[in-house]
Amino acid sequence: MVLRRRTVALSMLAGPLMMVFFAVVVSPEGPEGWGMLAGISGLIGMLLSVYASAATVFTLRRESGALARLRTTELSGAGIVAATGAPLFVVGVAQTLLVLAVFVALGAPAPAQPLLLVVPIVLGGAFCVVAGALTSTFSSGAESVQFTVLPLVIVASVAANLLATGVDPALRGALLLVPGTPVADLIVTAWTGVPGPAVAGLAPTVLGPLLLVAWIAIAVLGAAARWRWTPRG
Amino acid sequence: MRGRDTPDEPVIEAHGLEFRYGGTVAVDDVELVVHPGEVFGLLGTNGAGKTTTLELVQGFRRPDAGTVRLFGLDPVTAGRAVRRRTGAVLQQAGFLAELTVAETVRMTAALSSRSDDIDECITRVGLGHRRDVAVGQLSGGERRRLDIATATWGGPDLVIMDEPTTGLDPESRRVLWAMVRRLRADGAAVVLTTHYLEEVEALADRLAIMHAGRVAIAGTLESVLASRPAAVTAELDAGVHPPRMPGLSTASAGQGRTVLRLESTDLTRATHTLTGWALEAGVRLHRLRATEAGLDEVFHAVSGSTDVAGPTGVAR
Repeated sequence: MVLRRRTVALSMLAGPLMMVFFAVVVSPEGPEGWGMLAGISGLIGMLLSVYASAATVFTLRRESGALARLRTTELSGAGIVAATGAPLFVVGVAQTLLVLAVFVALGAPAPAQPLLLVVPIVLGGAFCVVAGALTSTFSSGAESVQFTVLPLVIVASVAANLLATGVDPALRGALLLVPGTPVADLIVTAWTGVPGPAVAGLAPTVLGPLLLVAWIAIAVLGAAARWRWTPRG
Repeated sequence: MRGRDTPDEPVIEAHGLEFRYGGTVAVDDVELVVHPGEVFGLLGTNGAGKTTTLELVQGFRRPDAGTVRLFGLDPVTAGRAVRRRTGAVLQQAGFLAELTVAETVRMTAALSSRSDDIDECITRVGLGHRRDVAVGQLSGGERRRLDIATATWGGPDLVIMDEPTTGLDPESRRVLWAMVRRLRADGAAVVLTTHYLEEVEALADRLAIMHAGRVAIAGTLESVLASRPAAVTAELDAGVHPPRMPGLSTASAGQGRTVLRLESTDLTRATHTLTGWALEAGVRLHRLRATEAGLDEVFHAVSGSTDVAGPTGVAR
């Protein structure tokens, strides 16, 4: 249903197309090169498709009165938000997995730890949906949401790039605190099978999921505190 | 659905409702009781507090003071149970423009525990020929009809309509009026806010007029109208001196005539007094008219007044 709206459909396609474009242009070599590309483009792709789409969908539905209408039904408030975000989550996870499969088809070596790959993609998808819901509370329409999503997209993309290219441990710890960056770090680890340096005594495979869960919780609490069912008017 | 055990139990019972937006009082000490099979009209100027009152009644906002019960339940804590028996027409329809009429009704069906027939529901509001058209391509009137179709899906016990006929074409308004009468005949309670006084006169069993967050006056149409004086008016020929009687005012008319206006809450007695004087004095009354107060007069009197609280301000 969400994909029938042209803006959202285009937004959902932007991420995967960008990921494939990067792969073709960069054409990296070896597990490290492909892992770095998969990590960076995996996060940016999710931000562009799932996060931006979620922020747009929640904003448009609030401003059009659709959320207020759904509230008159028997669905609970949490149920309405979950039902709105679930399709975006599913499509986002599926398309990320699909694009990573395309990477393999383009010549990338198979991920060293494929099961670990599921963790950042699932948690990253969930984070993007709830962060989109939170961002929508700062947005008053289709135009404004194009700007309100930019800070997270830019900051997380830059941080993920720095993280993937290798930085000293102190900076690495700070970069992992940026919302969403553990997605990139975990994808790189899953692809190469070589975890990055531990931070505060915690291995990336432990710290990354913990940080993502924490950001999901923060985004949920923030969205709940600022949530509006009716247009911001 | 009609799930009540006791038919006379109020569908809505609100006492001492208060709600503030920051420092602004939006709803102030509102009392509201609505019974099954009753159409209740809620009138008021923009910003009078009608929509906020309806939001409090539906449990979408928690009152700062006072209590609300729908079907005997707190609508804030028992939201789902209450909405199972309630339909709503909002000011902003809020449909997904990309869905067709049939898909919209199907979605309503999927989100409701009430049962109905999709095609029949669409046909009931005269949209049978538009069932496969996207909502975004419907006219404003057609969208409102779809709104009514979804609000009345499965025959709710209570339908809350917030300005449902604003901007509607006459045919769509006729459909809505018919639906309201049908709901009442089926035993449902309907709460209707509107700016159209004739709508309340035509549909409502009882009404309340809100002003500045308070119920300024409430009751049946007759009792509300009786709160304002009726008037007997007539014209006297030039040179005829008007009588002296309480409640009589005069004004000049053309050709030297004098207009008499005698206000009273007892129209029969006022007419008798004026015509009795004319007969005794051998005076001819021209353009004699006895007129009860209209709802518009009551409305304007209430919305123009500063002190509107009073013994009639209880919407029971």
